[in-house]
Amino acid sequence: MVKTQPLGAFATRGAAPGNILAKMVMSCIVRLENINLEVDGVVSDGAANNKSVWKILGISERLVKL
Amino acid sequence: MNRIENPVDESRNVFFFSDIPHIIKCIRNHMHKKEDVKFGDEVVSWRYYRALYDIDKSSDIRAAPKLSHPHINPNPFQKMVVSYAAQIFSKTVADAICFYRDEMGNKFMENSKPTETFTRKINGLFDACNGRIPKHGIKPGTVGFQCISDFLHSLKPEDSFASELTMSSIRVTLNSILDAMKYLCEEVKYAYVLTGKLNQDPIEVRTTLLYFK
Repeated sequence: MVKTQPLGAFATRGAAPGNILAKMVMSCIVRLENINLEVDGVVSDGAANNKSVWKILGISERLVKL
Repeated sequence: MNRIENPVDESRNVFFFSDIPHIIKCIRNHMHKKEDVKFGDEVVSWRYYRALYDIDKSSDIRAAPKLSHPHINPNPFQKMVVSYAAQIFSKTVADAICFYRDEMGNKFMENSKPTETFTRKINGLFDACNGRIPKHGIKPGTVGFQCISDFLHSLKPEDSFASELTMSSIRVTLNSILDAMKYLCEEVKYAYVLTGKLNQDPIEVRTTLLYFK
């Protein structure tokens, strides 16, 4: 059974900014869901750009109810 | 908020996690830099780890045999090695601190109790968040789940064992782990969840392979 599988790799000049990364994350989720792979989580490390993805997608420690 | 709505199916969520091994390293680096940090109402200090190594390295039979210079003073490359950070926050080190304080009556270690407790908690947390085999799989109601939940609820706003940024990652990640686990076990009916899979090892293995090819 294949346990892990790369989806894609992208060459960028310098680190990719958060807004681009956020779009890529959402695009990945949609593509995976379209082939019936259920996405339950996204993991990243604490790099500044990844944190800005969190911020753009509204991830924060504050408990905001809808 | 630790999740977003699934863009395709609005009845499901996508949870966000920060790499746990990375967080452990961040805690170690922060403590190494700041020396004295706060955990709850107590002061936890890097001094005790350093003192432990200094006493221990010259004894014939060592209490913490794995501790070495890179654990206490990691260079920039050694800072990236997860095992150095994980071994500092281990049961062995906590036991060794306890041994030199209580059994050997070491004066310097007198107030090392909070550091010992802190070490045990981080060790428990890392173990609970790094289960890789079915035996270590956790689900709501198990010891591991309780351990993560207790740690999350014991966090206080004035805690300073990690930077603000890391603290918020810890909160988001632990909340996500708990919520994802509840979702997976109660709704999707998983028998258990392997928390060791919730990190970015796959991508690191991949890039390492490419790098050394």
